[in-house]
Amino acid sequence: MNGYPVRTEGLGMSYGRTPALHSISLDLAPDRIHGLLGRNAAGKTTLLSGLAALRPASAGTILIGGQDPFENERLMEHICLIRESGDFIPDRRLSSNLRYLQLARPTFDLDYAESLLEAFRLDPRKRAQTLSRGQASAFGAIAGLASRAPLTMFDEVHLGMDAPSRQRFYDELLKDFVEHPRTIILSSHLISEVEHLLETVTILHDGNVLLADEADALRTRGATLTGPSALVDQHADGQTVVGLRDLGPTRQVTVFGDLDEESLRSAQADGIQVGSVPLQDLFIHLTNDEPREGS
Amino acid sequence: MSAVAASDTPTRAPQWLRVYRHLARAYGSMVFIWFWAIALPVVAIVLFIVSRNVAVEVSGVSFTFHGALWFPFSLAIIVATTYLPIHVANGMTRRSFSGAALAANVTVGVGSALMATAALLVEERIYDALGWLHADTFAGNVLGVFHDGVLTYFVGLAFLFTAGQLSGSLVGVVYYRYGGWVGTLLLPVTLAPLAAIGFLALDQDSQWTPWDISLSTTWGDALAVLILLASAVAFHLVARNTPIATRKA
Amino acid sequence: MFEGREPIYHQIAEAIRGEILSGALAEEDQVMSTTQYATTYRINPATAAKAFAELVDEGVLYKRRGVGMFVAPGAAARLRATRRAAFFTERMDPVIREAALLGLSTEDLTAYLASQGDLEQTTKERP
Repeated sequence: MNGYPVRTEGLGMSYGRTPALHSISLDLAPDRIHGLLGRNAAGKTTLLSGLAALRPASAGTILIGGQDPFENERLMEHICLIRESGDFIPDRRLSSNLRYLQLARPTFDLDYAESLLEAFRLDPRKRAQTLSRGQASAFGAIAGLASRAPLTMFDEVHLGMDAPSRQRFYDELLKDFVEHPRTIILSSHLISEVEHLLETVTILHDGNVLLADEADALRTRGATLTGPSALVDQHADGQTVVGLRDLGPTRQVTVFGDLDEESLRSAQADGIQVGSVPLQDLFIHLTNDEPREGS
Repeated sequence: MSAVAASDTPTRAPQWLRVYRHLARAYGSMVFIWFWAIALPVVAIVLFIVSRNVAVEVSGVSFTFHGALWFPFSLAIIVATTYLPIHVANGMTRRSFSGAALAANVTVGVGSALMATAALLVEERIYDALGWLHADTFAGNVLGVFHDGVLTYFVGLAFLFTAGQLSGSLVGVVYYRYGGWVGTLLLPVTLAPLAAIGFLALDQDSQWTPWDISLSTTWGDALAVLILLASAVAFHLVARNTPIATRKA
Repeated sequence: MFEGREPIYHQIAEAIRGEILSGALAEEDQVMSTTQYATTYRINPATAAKAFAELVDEGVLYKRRGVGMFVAPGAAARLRATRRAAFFTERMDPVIREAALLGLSTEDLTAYLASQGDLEQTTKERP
C-alpha cells in the first residue's frame, strides 16, 4: 500500500463565524480514485482545503494515514492538493517552478514532470503568469501528477482545459495510477466525463454528506421507469422517487434506493421501459432543492 | 514511492533550510544585484557630475540607504503575502516558512549592512584621494561618517536593515491573515520594530536616516535586540495557524 | 459507451464473454491487460480488474504470471453451456412478450423461424 487512507470524524469547518461544513464523516480507502461531487458552494473546496491542512478544522478530526495533517511536516509534504487557481510562483518560468516543486516534495518526479510538459505542449521557458487559463490548469494537473503524493487531490483541475487536454489528463492519470498506486480524490463538475474513472462517489450538499457509496453500487441503485403515467405510478409506488418528467400521457420517473430487481422485471414485463441513471443525472436529481416539475 | 534521484536522497536538507536557500537566492538576486549593481554606479555618475561644480562634502553612498532599507522592506512584505500561501499550498508547513523567512530577514539585513559599509569604506578612500570631505552635513556636523568607528556603524546599520526586514515580514503577514482594514490599523504595531530601532539604537539625530550612526547606551542596544526578537516571535505566531485563502480564478 | 444499469465490471465481463462466444477471441488468445482496458475505455483499472477476476473465477480466463490474461481452453464451450440454460428465460421470453404486444401469434413466430433455415447450418459457419 502506498496511498494514505483518508478519514474524517464529525468534521466541521468555518470561515470566521460562517460554517461551511457540518459534521462530515468520511472514510476513503487508500489506493483508489474517489470522486467528490457537489454543487457550487457545497463545501468541496473547503473539505479539500482541510485535508490538505490549508485550513484548520473548527470541530471534529481529520486523519490522513491515521494522523492529523495540520502543520505535520512529514505528512503535509506527502499530501498534494491542486487547486483551480494554481499555486505556482507567477513571475518565474515553468522550469523554475518545477524545481520549486522538487524542493517542496520528496516524492516529486522531475523527469516525469518534464515529459508531461511536452505531452501538454507547454513551453518550460514560459513565465507562469503568462499562461492562459487552460495552460495554467494543465500545469496544475502536471504538478499534481508528478508529485506522486500518496494523497493527491484535484479540485476542478479541468477548468479552462479543452476537451483533448482533459482526455490527455484522464489518460495520464489512469496510466500513472496503475504504475504508482496512490489515493486520489477527484472533484469535478464534468461528472459524465469522469464517471467511469471513479471507484467511489461522495456527494456533498450544503456542507453535509448527502451520499457516499461505491460507484458500482450507485449504478444499480438508480433506474428510470418510462411509460403510461398510471402504469408508471403503480410500479414506482413504494420506491423513492427523485425525479419526474411528463410528456403528454407518458411519464418518466427516476427512482433511487435499494431497488427491488423483481419489481423492475415485472415493470418491464408490463411494457415499461427500465433504464439506467447516469451519475450526472442522479447527482442533479439528488441535489435539486427546487420543487419537482410536472407538465 | 517512485525512485527519484535528486530529491529522494537521505541527505536531503531540513525543510526550513531548503526554503531558506530558495528565499536567499531570490532575495540575493533582487537586492544585491539589481539594487547595488544599479544604485552604486548611479551614485558614481551623480558624484562625477556634481563635483564639476561643487565641492563635495557629503557621502554619496549614504544617499542610497533609504532605498537599501525600503526596497528590501517591500520585498519582505511581498514574500509574506505571496510566498506564504504558495509555500503551504505546495505541502510545506507554516513553521518552516517562518523559520526560513526570519533567517532570510537577518541574512538580508546583515548582508545589506555589510555591502553598505564596504561601499562606504571604498568611497572614503576615493574621497580622501580626491580631497573631499567624507561626512554627513544633514546632522550639521563635519565629522567623518565613521567618526564612531566602522564596526559601530556596521552594527547600527545591521540593526536598522534587519529591523526593516522583520517589520516588512510582519506587515505582510498581518495583511495576509487579517485583511486590508486590520492590516492598516495595525501598522503602528507592525512598523514598530523600525521605529524602535531608530529611537533606541541609533543616534538621536539620525532616526530614519542612517547618516550618522552611533550606538547609544547598552540598555538601548539590549532593548533593540529584544524588540527585534519580539517582532520575530510575533511573525511566527501570526503565521503559525493562518488559514490559506481559497483563491478562485 | 457503457449503457444499462449493470455495474461496469459486469458489462466488461459480458463483452468479453460475447467475444469468446462469437469467436473474436479464440482459446489461448491474450486479452488486453487491465491497464490497457482502463486507458482504452477510460475506466478505473480496479473495475477492469474486477471483471477479469470474475472471468478467472468462472474459468473463462486464466493468468500467466508476468505475461498476461489468456482465454482458457474450453471457455467457449463452457460459456455456451451456461448461456443455453439462460437463453430461453432471458432472451426468448421478452421476444414472446413483445410479439404478444404486437399481436403476433405462435404460428407467425414458427413460420419466421422456419424461413430462416437450419439453425445448425448457421452454427457451423462460426469458427
